[in-house]
Amino acid sequence: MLNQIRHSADHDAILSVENLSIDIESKRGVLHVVRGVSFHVNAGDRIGVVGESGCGKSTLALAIMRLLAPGAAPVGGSIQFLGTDLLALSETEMRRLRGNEIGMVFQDPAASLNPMMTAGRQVGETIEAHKGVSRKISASAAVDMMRSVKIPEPAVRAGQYPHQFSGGMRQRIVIAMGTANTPKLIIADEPTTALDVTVQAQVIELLEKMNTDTGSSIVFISHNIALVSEFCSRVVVMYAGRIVEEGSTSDIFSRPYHPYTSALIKSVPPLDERLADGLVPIEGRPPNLASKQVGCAFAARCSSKIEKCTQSSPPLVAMGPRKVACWVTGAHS
Amino acid sequence: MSSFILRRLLAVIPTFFVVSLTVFLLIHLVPGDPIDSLMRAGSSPALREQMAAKYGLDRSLFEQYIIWMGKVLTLDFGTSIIQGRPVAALIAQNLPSSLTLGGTAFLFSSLAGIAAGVLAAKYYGTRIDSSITSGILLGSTIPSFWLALLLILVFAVWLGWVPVSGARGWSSLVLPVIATGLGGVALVARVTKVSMIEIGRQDFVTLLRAKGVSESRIRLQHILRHALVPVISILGLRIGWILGGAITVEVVFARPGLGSLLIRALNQRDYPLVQGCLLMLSMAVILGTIIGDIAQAAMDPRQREASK
Ligand SMILES: Nc1ncnc2c1ncn2[C@@H]1O[C@H](COP(=O)(O)OP(=O)(O)OP(=O)(O)O)[C@@H](O)[C@H]1O
Ligand code: SF4
Ligand SMILES: [Mg+2]
Repeated sequence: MLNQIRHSADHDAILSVENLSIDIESKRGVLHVVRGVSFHVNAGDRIGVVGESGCGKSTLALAIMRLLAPGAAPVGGSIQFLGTDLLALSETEMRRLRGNEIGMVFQDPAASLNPMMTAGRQVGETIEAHKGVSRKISASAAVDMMRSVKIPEPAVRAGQYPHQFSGGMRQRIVIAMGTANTPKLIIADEPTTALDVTVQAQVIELLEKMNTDTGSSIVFISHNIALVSEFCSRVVVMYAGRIVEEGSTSDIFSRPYHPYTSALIKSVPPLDERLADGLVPIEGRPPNLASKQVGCAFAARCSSKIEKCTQSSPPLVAMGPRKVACWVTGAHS
Repeated sequence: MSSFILRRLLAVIPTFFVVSLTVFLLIHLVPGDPIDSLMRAGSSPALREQMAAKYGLDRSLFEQYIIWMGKVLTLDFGTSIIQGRPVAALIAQNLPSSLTLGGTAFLFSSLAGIAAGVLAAKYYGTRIDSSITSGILLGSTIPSFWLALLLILVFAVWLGWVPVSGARGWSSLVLPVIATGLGGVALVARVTKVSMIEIGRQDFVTLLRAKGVSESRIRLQHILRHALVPVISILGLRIGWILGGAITVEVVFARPGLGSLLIRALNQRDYPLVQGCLLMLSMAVILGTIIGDIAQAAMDPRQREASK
């Protein structure tokens, strides 16, 4: 009975991550890279995940794809995709979802492509892997896909190798590869970081179009909160493996609650004007992920901290439509 | 691409002269006189001089080289002092047998080596990998003549499955091919394994997984194709090594071929024949390297472009 209520309440959730923790075994010992992260993605959502380098964004994305590197593994929590627990699926079942129901776009288009295979074949491969179509059909579908990501002369370009494309064009190919089967969920991990500003805008436009045309939900990962604010309806702010604030983009931008979110907004240049003037870099460094965190992970860098901050870790609690994890600015105050 | 091939071939010319000079000098620096093995005991010094003049052995080294080179360029390697037949004819007669052995051993090295490497990489860190790896270690440390003797002892003498020696039929080829090619199998397997593992760690492989491409397809269509690039250049270098192995193996198995011809010629100080054989073998090594280079460039679209 309770299950049914829960189920109906979540019925538009495409992705539900619950209390997910991920450890990585490294030379410096076990790193607790993701620490009890929960968030939901509904149909058609564009949700941004932001945070400084090393806060665990890519690890989270790869965990959803079940593509974590050897040594990295979920140690708690669950990942539900359309009601199925991804962590419980067999490798074969998981493979059927990847590239088909869940597509991923990676950061570095130069490293993401096989240099020895034509662009068209690489796009067609995603279709072949899932649709059981002949090579001829997948080849023409690949050309269509390349046209839809606005690659000029797609029929000619399909026969060319990655090194014959510019960075922006390569990223379009990577997007075409990740989305060729119109997945319900697209995870884009810093899809524009390697590109220059004008090309960035084009790639964002493309993802926007995909979201409106096919209704695919998008999880957009970036360390650039300004970029996220342009593109996403909701934002999840991560710090040292935890979510510290979550809410609608407009709320968070107009009134950030968490001191880290405020600092992040001040530290990132606005998209168009590259004015370095108003920028305030965040002082200090994120904590060591190998240690068990006592108190708020941001305490060492926070100007609003109180005594309690170093004693116990603030939970993420709802404040109206948003969630904040802070003893001072959160719902506890 | 064709200009790349042309350039590589032109680069052979200086190499060829260096090699030919080395071959020529080497032969003249080893002690021993071919006339000795030709003359009967007690022949007169006059007859001796006459013979030396006939074969040009009375001229200066430099003159001998120029004369020899001039002829070599028209594919005239001179006449065998001992056997009295043209060197070119002797080589032509023995070449097919060596090519069969070398070619089969090369094929065996490539196919078995690549297969073993792919398996070891797939089962990296498991018992299958460690048994292949120790097999590789063993294979690469045993010299081919010793392996040849061992194989003869086990399969020809004890088990009687194949003939001990000779060159009749395919069964007589089995042991020589294994003896010649096993070292190559080991090398190719090792290079294949290492490069497959290394390429398997690259980012584009993660993206292939994210596309839902099956593991076997990722391994064979993507990773192996990359891994073959270094393997092919190694194989090109290996052609010479296999020819070297074939020489000793031919002798051990008493097979006709360039190797047997060369060893006999060496024992008899048959200068022209030794020179002809060595020159042939060196050219084969150089050609092998070039073929490896060209094949490698042809495989990689970036190099194909760059070498247009
Ligand atoms: N294979 C690994 N071995 C050891 N440590 C790792 C490994 N992968 C990630 N880490 C560590 O885990 C933490 C989180 O890494 P992750 O790549 O998820 O961060 P990120 O938020 O995506 O950063 P970026 O913005 O730089 O991409 C980092 O501190 C990183 O050093
Ligand atoms: S809990 Fe305390 S230390 Fe942490 S962000 Fe809030 S005020 Fe700063
Ligand atoms: Mg990252």
